[in-house]
Amino acid sequence: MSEFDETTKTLNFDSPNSYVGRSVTRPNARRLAQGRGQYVDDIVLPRMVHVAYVRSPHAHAKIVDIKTKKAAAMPAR
Amino acid sequence: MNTLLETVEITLTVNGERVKRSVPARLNLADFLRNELELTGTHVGCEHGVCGACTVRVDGEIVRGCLMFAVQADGCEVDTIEGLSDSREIEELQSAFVLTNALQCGFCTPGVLMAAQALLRDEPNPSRERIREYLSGNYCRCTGYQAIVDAIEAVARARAGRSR
Amino acid sequence: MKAPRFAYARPASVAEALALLDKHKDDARVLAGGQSLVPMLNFRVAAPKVLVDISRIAGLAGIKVTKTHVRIGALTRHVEIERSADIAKHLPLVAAAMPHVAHPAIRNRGTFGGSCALADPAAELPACALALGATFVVAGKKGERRIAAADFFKGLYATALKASELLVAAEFPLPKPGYASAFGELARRHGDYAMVGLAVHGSTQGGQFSDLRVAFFGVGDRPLLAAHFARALEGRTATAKTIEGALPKLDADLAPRADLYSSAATKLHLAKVLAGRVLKQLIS
Repeated sequence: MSEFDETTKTLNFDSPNSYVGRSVTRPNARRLAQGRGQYVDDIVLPRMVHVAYVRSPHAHAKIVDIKTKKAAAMPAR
Repeated sequence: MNTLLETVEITLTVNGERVKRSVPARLNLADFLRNELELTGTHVGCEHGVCGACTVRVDGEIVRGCLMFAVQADGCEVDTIEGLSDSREIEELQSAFVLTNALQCGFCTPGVLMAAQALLRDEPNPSRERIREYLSGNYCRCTGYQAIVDAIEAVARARAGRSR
Repeated sequence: MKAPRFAYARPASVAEALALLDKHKDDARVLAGGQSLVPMLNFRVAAPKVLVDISRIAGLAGIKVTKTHVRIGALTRHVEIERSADIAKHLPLVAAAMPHVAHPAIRNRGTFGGSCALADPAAELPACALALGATFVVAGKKGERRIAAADFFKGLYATALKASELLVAAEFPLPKPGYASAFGELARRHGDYAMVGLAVHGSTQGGQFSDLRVAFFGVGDRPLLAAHFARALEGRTATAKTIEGALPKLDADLAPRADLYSSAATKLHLAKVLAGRVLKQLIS
């Protein structure tokens, strides 16, 4: 952290221990407070795929077959 | 409109801009804002109205974006965190949040800011307890709320100080 | 999760809404504020094929005070009731209940009619309607009919509303002179569903309890009037001692079932504690 020393009128770039005893705000805090964070669900990539979970309606069963014909016939977008 | 439609044309104002879209009836307002309009500042948390991360403003009042369908916002004025931010309406609150460290991961923050702004609009001088009560509809897992209350109280005081 | 697919209709009048409900019967559900219905759709515990959005029908919202009663339109948003000077003046019990209804953002959309028509056992407004002896106004194909609150709430999410009917308003008789009310609710966090709640309305004239209607919510499948408890207080002096003496009568009125938060015994205990507090509020 850089600081300007008023008494000696000098600039101290990255002076040692200049963070000690000071309150330092986080560099990304303002951006997050503006709603400009990038959380996982906010990320959009070209040709990105989405996942939807199909869960078994049975508590205890053996998977015999997975039918994908109807799903495959749906449009990609 | 008496006809049954699964896809509906809606026209609404979002952050002061007129928007016209054709949307599935089942699409909720939060997802509409995030996916259709790329306004990802509004977050989806619980999808049943308790966490407050999806809080937006419709016709001047805060609502849960996850509990409203986009079709219900037809003809309405919607304000999101991006709009409140860009118009500088909540600039003071945002600065206060940064200074008091009232956010860590920031996921709840847009919702908290929307709620805070609504509170201060209706009650310019809330007690700390009242602030806590009002924010009980906004879940924050990171901060423990203390700094959030500090920030809102400080802004209320600053505004009161100026209006004398 | 996301809501399942449905067809959306937005009727412009009660008649149009009734026609849609009549046509689609159990496939259709009424959408007003949506603050209870939409979570159900998001959780996929409800999957109506048709949603009838009644929120733009004119004339169903508003609070009107007449010489004999206060009429609350079914589409009146909770926030309007919360902010209403008329409600604060004429129905202080309802005014006291409103801050306990969910959270501000939910109150900005949720409606009075929606809350009563859904009849969640932990809801505040049905208990207030019961305590104040309100009458529900229901519109159907054959016209309007009136249902007393005592006959309206039938069970878990069950009311006297038929499938093709629409709740349009509730009429609350103006409180008589000498009558007071008090409200209390216990929840883990402010705004949570009530673990136990209580709406009381009755006369304390001449320092005596009379005509007490003690409506509990959150302790049964519907709001319940504690009749034995009220009878034990009838005609007695309105003091803390009398109240405490009558609390055991609640064993006869309430048989709560355990829920996510408390055992049956805990709920009963909490009901008694709350009754003590709220009745004391009534006389202070």
